[in-house]
Amino acid sequence: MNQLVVIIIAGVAAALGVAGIAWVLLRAKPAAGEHTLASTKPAGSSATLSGGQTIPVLGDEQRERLIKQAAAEFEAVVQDGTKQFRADLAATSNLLSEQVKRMTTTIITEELENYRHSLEELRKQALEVMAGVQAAVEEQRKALASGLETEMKAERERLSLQLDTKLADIVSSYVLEVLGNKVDMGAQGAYLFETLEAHKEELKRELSDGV
Amino acid sequence: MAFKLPDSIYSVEQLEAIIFELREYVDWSRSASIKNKLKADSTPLPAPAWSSEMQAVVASFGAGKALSTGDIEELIKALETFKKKAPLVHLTLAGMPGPAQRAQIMAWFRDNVNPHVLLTFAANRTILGGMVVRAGSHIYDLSWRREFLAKREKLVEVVSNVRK
Repeated sequence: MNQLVVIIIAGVAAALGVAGIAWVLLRAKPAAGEHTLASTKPAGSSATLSGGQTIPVLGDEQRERLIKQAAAEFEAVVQDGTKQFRADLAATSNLLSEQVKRMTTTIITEELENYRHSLEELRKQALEVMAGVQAAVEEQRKALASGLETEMKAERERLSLQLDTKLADIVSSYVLEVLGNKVDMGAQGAYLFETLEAHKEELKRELSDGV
Repeated sequence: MAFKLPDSIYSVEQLEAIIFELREYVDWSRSASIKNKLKADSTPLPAPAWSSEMQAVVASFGAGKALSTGDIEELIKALETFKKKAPLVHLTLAGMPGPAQRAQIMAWFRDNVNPHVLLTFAANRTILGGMVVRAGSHIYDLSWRREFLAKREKLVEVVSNVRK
Protein backbone atom coordinates (compact mmCIF):
# COMPACT_ATOMS: atom_id res chain seq x y z
CA MET A 1 0.00 0.00 0.00
CA ASN A 2 2.74 2.40 1.03
CA GLN A 3 4.79 1.43 -2.02
CA LEU A 4 1.84 2.18 -4.26
CA VAL A 5 1.43 5.60 -2.65
CA VAL A 6 5.14 6.32 -3.09
CA ILE A 7 4.98 5.34 -6.75
CA ILE A 8 1.94 7.56 -7.29
CA ILE A 9 3.61 10.47 -5.57
CA ALA A 10 6.81 9.98 -7.58
CA GLY A 11 4.77 9.88 -10.78
CA VAL A 12 2.94 13.05 -9.86
CA ALA A 13 6.17 14.79 -8.96
CA ALA A 14 7.81 13.76 -12.23
CA ALA A 15 4.83 14.98 -14.20
CA LEU A 16 4.86 18.31 -12.37
CA GLY A 17 8.58 18.66 -13.01
CA VAL A 18 8.30 17.98 -16.70
CA ALA A 19 5.34 20.35 -16.94
CA GLY A 20 7.27 23.09 -15.13
CA ILE A 21 10.30 22.75 -17.33
CA ALA A 22 8.15 22.78 -20.43
CA TRP A 23 6.36 25.88 -19.17
CA VAL A 24 9.66 27.68 -18.57
CA LEU A 25 10.98 26.75 -21.99
CA LEU A 26 7.81 27.76 -23.72
CA ARG A 27 7.74 31.02 -21.85
CA ALA A 28 11.30 31.61 -23.01
CA LYS A 29 10.31 31.46 -26.67
CA PRO A 30 8.26 34.37 -28.00
CA ALA A 31 4.82 33.55 -29.14
CA ALA A 32 3.26 35.04 -32.29
CA GLY A 33 2.59 38.73 -31.84
CA GLU A 34 4.83 38.77 -28.77
CA HIS A 35 7.92 40.91 -28.50
CA THR A 36 11.01 39.02 -29.58
CA LEU A 37 14.36 39.47 -27.94
CA ALA A 38 17.72 38.96 -29.34
CA SER A 39 19.08 35.43 -28.91
CA THR A 40 22.23 36.56 -27.31
CA LYS A 41 22.09 39.73 -25.41
CA PRO A 42 24.64 41.09 -23.06
CA ALA A 43 23.64 41.56 -19.47
CA GLY A 44 22.21 44.98 -18.65
CA SER A 45 20.89 45.81 -22.21
CA SER A 46 17.32 46.92 -22.91
CA ALA A 47 14.70 46.56 -25.68
CA THR A 48 12.30 49.12 -27.11
CA LEU A 49 8.74 48.12 -27.69
CA SER A 50 6.69 49.27 -30.66
CA GLY A 51 4.94 51.83 -28.53
CA GLY A 52 8.22 53.30 -27.59
CA GLN A 53 8.32 51.74 -24.18
CA THR A 54 11.62 50.40 -23.13
CA ILE A 55 12.03 47.29 -21.02
CA PRO A 56 15.21 45.84 -19.59
CA VAL A 57 16.43 42.67 -21.33
CA LEU A 58 18.21 39.83 -19.41
CA GLY A 59 21.41 38.45 -20.63
CA ASP A 60 21.91 34.79 -21.53
CA GLU A 61 23.87 33.97 -18.44
CA GLN A 62 21.45 35.75 -16.20
CA ARG A 63 18.61 34.00 -17.85
CA GLU A 64 20.35 30.66 -17.55
CA ARG A 65 21.00 31.32 -13.91
CA LEU A 66 17.42 32.32 -13.32
CA ILE A 67 16.15 29.26 -15.10
CA LYS A 68 18.38 27.05 -13.01
CA GLN A 69 17.34 28.85 -9.86
CA ALA A 70 13.67 28.53 -10.83
CA ALA A 71 14.13 24.89 -11.63
CA ALA A 72 15.89 24.33 -8.31
CA GLU A 73 13.21 26.23 -6.44
CA PHE A 74 10.51 24.45 -8.35
CA GLU A 75 12.17 21.14 -7.60
CA ALA A 76 12.40 22.06 -3.92
CA VAL A 77 8.78 23.11 -3.89
CA VAL A 78 7.79 19.92 -5.66
CA GLN A 79 9.88 17.91 -3.25
CA ASP A 80 8.31 19.67 -0.29
CA GLY A 81 4.88 19.19 -1.82
CA THR A 82 5.70 15.59 -2.48
CA LYS A 83 6.88 15.10 1.09
CA GLN A 84 3.82 16.85 2.43
CA PHE A 85 1.60 14.92 0.10
CA ARG A 86 3.31 11.66 1.06
CA ALA A 87 2.85 12.44 4.73
CA ASP A 88 -0.79 13.41 4.16
CA LEU A 89 -1.28 10.39 2.01
CA ALA A 90 0.28 8.17 4.64
CA ALA A 91 -1.87 9.72 7.33
CA THR A 92 -4.92 9.41 5.13
CA SER A 93 -3.96 5.90 4.31
CA ASN A 94 -3.52 5.12 7.98
CA LEU A 95 -6.79 6.78 8.77
CA LEU A 96 -8.48 4.95 5.97
CA SER A 97 -6.90 1.71 7.06
CA GLU A 98 -8.02 2.36 10.57
CA GLN A 99 -11.48 3.30 9.37
CA VAL A 100 -11.66 0.32 7.10
CA LYS A 101 -10.44 -1.86 9.91
CA ARG A 102 -13.00 -0.42 12.25
CA MET A 103 -15.75 -0.69 9.68
CA THR A 104 -14.67 -4.17 8.83
CA THR A 105 -14.60 -5.09 12.48
CA THR A 106 -17.99 -3.51 13.01
CA ILE A 107 -19.44 -5.17 9.94
CA ILE A 108 -17.92 -8.50 10.79
CA THR A 109 -19.13 -8.14 14.36
CA GLU A 110 -22.61 -7.22 13.16
CA GLU A 111 -22.58 -9.99 10.63
CA LEU A 112 -21.31 -12.39 13.21
CA GLU A 113 -24.00 -11.21 15.57
CA ASN A 114 -26.60 -11.67 12.85
CA TYR A 115 -25.12 -15.04 12.05
CA ARG A 116 -25.11 -15.98 15.72
CA HIS A 117 -28.70 -14.76 16.03
CA SER A 118 -29.72 -16.74 12.95
CA LEU A 119 -27.92 -19.76 14.28
CA GLU A 120 -29.67 -19.34 17.60
CA GLU A 121 -33.02 -19.05 15.85
CA LEU A 122 -32.25 -22.10 13.78
CA ARG A 123 -31.10 -23.95 16.85
CA LYS A 124 -34.36 -23.03 18.61
CA GLN A 125 -36.39 -24.12 15.60
CA ALA A 126 -34.40 -27.31 15.35
CA LEU A 127 -34.90 -27.92 19.06
CA GLU A 128 -38.65 -27.30 18.70
CA VAL A 129 -38.80 -29.65 15.75
CA MET A 130 -36.73 -32.18 17.61
CA ALA A 131 -38.96 -31.84 20.65
CA GLY A 132 -42.00 -32.37 18.43
CA VAL A 133 -40.41 -35.38 16.80
CA GLN A 134 -39.34 -36.71 20.17
CA ALA A 135 -42.87 -36.26 21.54
CA ALA A 136 -44.34 -37.98 18.48
CA VAL A 137 -41.83 -40.81 18.78
CA GLU A 138 -42.54 -41.12 22.48
CA GLU A 139 -46.28 -41.15 21.82
CA GLN A 140 -45.82 -43.75 19.12
CA ARG A 141 -43.60 -45.76 21.42
CA LYS A 142 -46.21 -45.61 24.17
CA ALA A 143 -48.97 -46.59 21.76
CA LEU A 144 -46.88 -49.47 20.48
CA ALA A 145 -45.96 -50.55 23.98
CA SER A 146 -49.58 -50.35 25.08
CA GLY A 147 -50.75 -52.26 22.01
CA LEU A 148 -48.05 -54.82 22.51
CA GLU A 149 -48.89 -55.18 26.16
CA THR A 150 -52.59 -55.62 25.39
CA GLU A 151 -51.77 -58.13 22.71
CA MET A 152 -49.42 -60.00 24.98
CA LYS A 153 -51.99 -60.02 27.75
CA ALA A 154 -54.67 -61.36 25.39
CA GLU A 155 -52.24 -63.95 24.06
CA ARG A 156 -51.23 -64.93 27.58
CA GLU A 157 -54.87 -65.31 28.59
CA ARG A 158 -55.61 -67.29 25.45
CA LEU A 159 -52.68 -69.59 26.08
CA SER A 160 -53.62 -69.90 29.73
CA LEU A 161 -57.18 -70.82 28.79
CA GLN A 162 -55.87 -73.25 26.21
CA LEU A 163 -53.54 -74.76 28.77
CA ASP A 164 -56.31 -75.04 31.33
CA THR A 165 -58.57 -76.69 28.80
CA LYS A 166 -55.81 -79.05 27.77
CA LEU A 167 -55.08 -79.79 31.40
CA ALA A 168 -58.74 -80.50 32.05
CA ASP A 169 -58.79 -82.70 28.98
CA ILE A 170 -55.70 -84.50 30.20
CA VAL A 171 -57.25 -85.10 33.60
CA SER A 172 -60.53 -86.19 32.00
CA SER A 173 -58.67 -88.55 29.71
CA TYR A 174 -56.62 -89.82 32.61
CA VAL A 175 -59.71 -90.45 34.74
CA LEU A 176 -61.42 -92.08 31.78
CA GLU A 177 -58.40 -94.26 31.15
CA VAL A 178 -58.17 -95.26 34.80
CA LEU A 179 -61.87 -95.95 35.13
CA GLY A 180 -62.07 -97.81 31.82
CA ASN A 181 -65.30 -99.73 31.74
CA LYS A 182 -65.48 -100.00 35.49
CA VAL A 183 -67.85 -97.12 36.03
CA ASP A 184 -69.71 -97.88 39.23
CA MET A 185 -73.12 -96.36 38.76
CA GLY A 186 -74.12 -97.40 42.25
CA ALA A 187 -71.37 -95.25 43.71
CA GLN A 188 -72.65 -92.31 41.70
CA GLY A 189 -76.22 -92.70 42.92
CA ALA A 190 -76.06 -90.11 45.66
CA TYR A 191 -74.33 -87.64 43.38
CA LEU A 192 -76.91 -88.21 40.63
CA PHE A 193 -79.87 -87.52 42.90
CA GLU A 194 -78.10 -84.56 44.42
CA THR A 195 -77.59 -82.95 41.02
CA LEU A 196 -81.16 -83.81 39.98
CA GLU A 197 -82.45 -82.17 43.16
CA ALA A 198 -80.44 -79.07 42.32
CA HIS A 199 -82.21 -78.83 38.94
CA LYS A 200 -85.62 -80.07 40.04
CA GLU A 201 -87.47 -76.82 39.52
CA GLU A 202 -86.07 -76.29 36.04
CA LEU A 203 -87.03 -79.83 35.04
CA LYS A 204 -90.50 -79.32 36.46
CA ARG A 205 -90.99 -76.20 34.42
CA GLU A 206 -89.66 -77.86 31.33
CA LEU A 207 -91.97 -80.89 31.65
CA SER A 208 -95.08 -79.09 32.90
CA ASP A 209 -96.55 -79.12 29.39
CA GLY A 210 -96.71 -82.94 29.40
CA VAL A 211 -99.67 -85.21 30.06
CA MET B 1 -104.52 -91.04 32.90
CA ALA B 2 -106.09 -92.33 36.04
CA PHE B 3 -103.46 -94.74 37.24
CA LYS B 4 -99.80 -94.48 37.97
CA LEU B 5 -97.37 -96.67 36.10
CA PRO B 6 -95.08 -98.74 38.29
CA ASP B 7 -91.59 -97.26 38.55
CA SER B 8 -90.13 -100.34 36.86
CA ILE B 9 -91.93 -99.23 33.68
CA TYR B 10 -89.96 -96.23 32.49
CA SER B 11 -89.66 -96.42 28.72
CA VAL B 12 -91.77 -96.29 25.58
CA GLU B 13 -90.35 -99.66 24.52
CA GLN B 14 -91.52 -101.26 27.74
CA LEU B 15 -94.98 -99.78 27.22
CA GLU B 16 -95.10 -101.12 23.70
CA ALA B 17 -94.07 -104.56 24.92
CA ILE B 18 -96.75 -104.50 27.63
CA ILE B 19 -99.41 -103.36 25.15
CA PHE B 20 -98.35 -106.20 22.86
CA GLU B 21 -98.58 -108.70 25.70
CA LEU B 22 -102.00 -107.36 26.74
CA ARG B 23 -103.30 -107.66 23.19
CA GLU B 24 -102.04 -111.22 23.06
CA TYR B 25 -103.82 -111.85 26.29
CA VAL B 26 -107.04 -110.37 24.95
CA ASP B 27 -106.75 -112.54 21.81
CA TRP B 28 -106.04 -115.59 23.93
CA SER B 29 -108.88 -114.77 26.24
CA ARG B 30 -111.36 -114.44 23.38
CA SER B 31 -110.16 -117.60 21.69
CA ALA B 32 -110.34 -119.49 24.96
CA SER B 33 -113.83 -118.17 25.60
CA ILE B 34 -115.08 -119.21 22.15
CA LYS B 35 -113.44 -122.60 22.47
CA ASN B 36 -115.02 -123.02 25.85
CA LYS B 37 -118.42 -122.13 24.49
CA LEU B 38 -118.15 -124.50 21.55
CA LYS B 39 -116.55 -127.27 23.58
CA ALA B 40 -115.06 -128.52 20.34
CA ASP B 41 -111.78 -129.50 21.89
CA SER B 42 -111.24 -130.58 25.44
CA THR B 43 -107.60 -129.44 25.48
CA PRO B 44 -107.47 -125.84 26.73
CA LEU B 45 -105.42 -123.19 24.89
CA PRO B 46 -102.12 -122.50 26.65
CA ALA B 47 -102.15 -119.16 28.38
CA PRO B 48 -99.39 -116.74 27.20
CA ALA B 49 -96.56 -116.03 29.59
CA TRP B 50 -96.97 -112.80 31.53
CA SER B 51 -93.90 -110.68 32.12
CA SER B 52 -93.33 -109.21 35.55
CA GLU B 53 -93.73 -105.71 34.09
CA MET B 54 -97.13 -106.59 32.63
CA GLN B 55 -98.20 -108.11 35.91
CA ALA B 56 -97.12 -104.99 37.74
CA VAL B 57 -99.07 -102.77 35.34
CA VAL B 58 -102.21 -104.90 35.59
CA ALA B 59 -101.93 -104.97 39.39
CA SER B 60 -101.54 -101.21 39.50
CA PHE B 61 -104.44 -100.66 37.08
CA GLY B 62 -106.84 -103.09 38.81
CA ALA B 63 -105.74 -102.13 42.28
CA GLY B 64 -105.59 -105.82 43.25
CA LYS B 65 -108.86 -106.82 41.58
CA ALA B 66 -109.16 -109.33 38.71
CA LEU B 67 -109.61 -107.61 35.35
CA SER B 68 -112.09 -108.58 32.67
CA THR B 69 -111.24 -108.53 28.98
CA GLY B 70 -113.01 -105.22 28.74
CA ASP B 71 -110.86 -103.85 31.56
CA ILE B 72 -107.74 -105.05 29.76
CA GLU B 73 -108.88 -103.33 26.59
CA GLU B 74 -109.43 -100.17 28.58
CA LEU B 75 -105.94 -100.57 30.03
CA ILE B 76 -104.53 -100.95 26.53
CA LYS B 77 -106.22 -97.71 25.50
CA ALA B 78 -104.88 -95.95 28.59
CA LEU B 79 -101.37 -97.19 27.87
CA GLU B 80 -101.65 -96.09 24.20
CA THR B 81 -102.60 -92.62 25.39
CA PHE B 82 -99.78 -92.70 27.91
CA LYS B 83 -97.31 -93.63 25.22
CA LYS B 84 -98.44 -90.77 22.99
CA LYS B 85 -98.63 -88.03 25.57
CA ALA B 86 -96.16 -88.81 28.31
CA PRO B 87 -93.28 -86.30 28.55
CA LEU B 88 -89.96 -87.87 27.63
CA VAL B 89 -86.67 -87.38 29.37
CA HIS B 90 -83.42 -88.73 27.92
CA LEU B 91 -80.69 -89.54 30.37
CA THR B 92 -77.08 -90.20 29.39
CA LEU B 93 -74.88 -91.65 32.11
CA ALA B 94 -71.29 -92.85 32.23
CA GLY B 95 -72.56 -96.43 32.32
CA MET B 96 -75.88 -98.17 31.93
CA PRO B 97 -77.70 -98.28 35.28
CA GLY B 98 -79.13 -101.56 36.52
CA PRO B 99 -82.90 -102.18 36.75
CA ALA B 100 -83.03 -101.18 40.41
CA GLN B 101 -81.21 -97.94 39.78
CA ARG B 102 -83.39 -97.19 36.75
CA ALA B 103 -86.46 -97.69 38.90
CA GLN B 104 -84.99 -95.39 41.55
CA ILE B 105 -84.36 -92.68 38.99
CA MET B 106 -87.81 -93.18 37.50
CA ALA B 107 -89.41 -92.90 40.95
CA TRP B 108 -87.52 -89.68 41.62
CA PHE B 109 -88.72 -88.15 38.35
CA ARG B 110 -92.33 -89.21 38.90
CA ASP B 111 -92.33 -88.03 42.51
CA ASN B 112 -90.52 -84.77 41.96
CA VAL B 113 -90.99 -83.65 38.35
CA ASN B 114 -93.94 -85.21 36.56
CA PRO B 115 -95.95 -88.37 37.54
CA HIS B 116 -96.32 -89.45 33.91
CA VAL B 117 -92.80 -88.99 32.68
CA LEU B 118 -91.04 -91.68 30.64
CA LEU B 119 -87.28 -92.07 30.42
CA THR B 120 -84.69 -93.34 28.01
CA PHE B 121 -81.24 -94.34 29.20
CA ALA B 122 -78.00 -94.19 27.25
CA ALA B 123 -74.38 -94.71 28.25
CA ASN B 124 -71.37 -92.56 27.30
CA ARG B 125 -68.28 -93.19 29.36
CA THR B 126 -66.53 -90.00 28.16
CA ILE B 127 -68.74 -87.95 30.45
CA LEU B 128 -66.87 -89.73 33.28
CA GLY B 129 -69.74 -89.45 35.75
CA GLY B 130 -72.92 -87.60 36.52
CA MET B 131 -75.46 -87.36 33.71
CA VAL B 132 -76.69 -85.38 30.79
CA VAL B 133 -80.44 -84.77 30.93
CA ARG B 134 -82.38 -83.82 27.82
CA ALA B 135 -85.88 -82.68 28.75
CA GLY B 136 -88.05 -80.93 26.23
CA SER B 137 -85.97 -78.39 24.41
CA HIS B 138 -83.26 -78.16 27.06
CA ILE B 139 -80.10 -80.10 27.76
CA TYR B 140 -78.75 -80.07 31.30
CA ASP B 141 -75.15 -81.16 31.31
CA LEU B 142 -74.60 -82.42 34.85
CA SER B 143 -71.60 -84.52 33.90
CA TRP B 144 -68.25 -84.70 35.64
CA ARG B 145 -66.52 -83.77 32.43
CA ARG B 146 -68.33 -80.47 32.37
CA GLU B 147 -67.51 -79.99 36.02
CA PHE B 148 -63.85 -80.52 35.23
CA LEU B 149 -63.95 -78.03 32.42
CA ALA B 150 -65.94 -75.52 34.45
CA LYS B 151 -63.52 -75.71 37.36
CA ARG B 152 -60.30 -75.44 35.43
CA GLU B 153 -58.97 -72.82 37.83
CA LYS B 154 -59.38 -75.20 40.72
CA LEU B 155 -57.56 -77.86 38.77
CA VAL B 156 -54.71 -75.47 37.98
CA GLU B 157 -54.59 -74.45 41.62
CA VAL B 158 -54.37 -78.06 42.73
CA VAL B 159 -51.63 -78.76 40.18
CA SER B 160 -49.75 -75.65 41.34
CA ASN B 161 -50.00 -76.76 44.96
CA VAL B 162 -48.69 -80.17 44.02
CA ARG B 163 -45.74 -78.62 42.17
CA LYS B 164 -44.83 -76.51 45.22
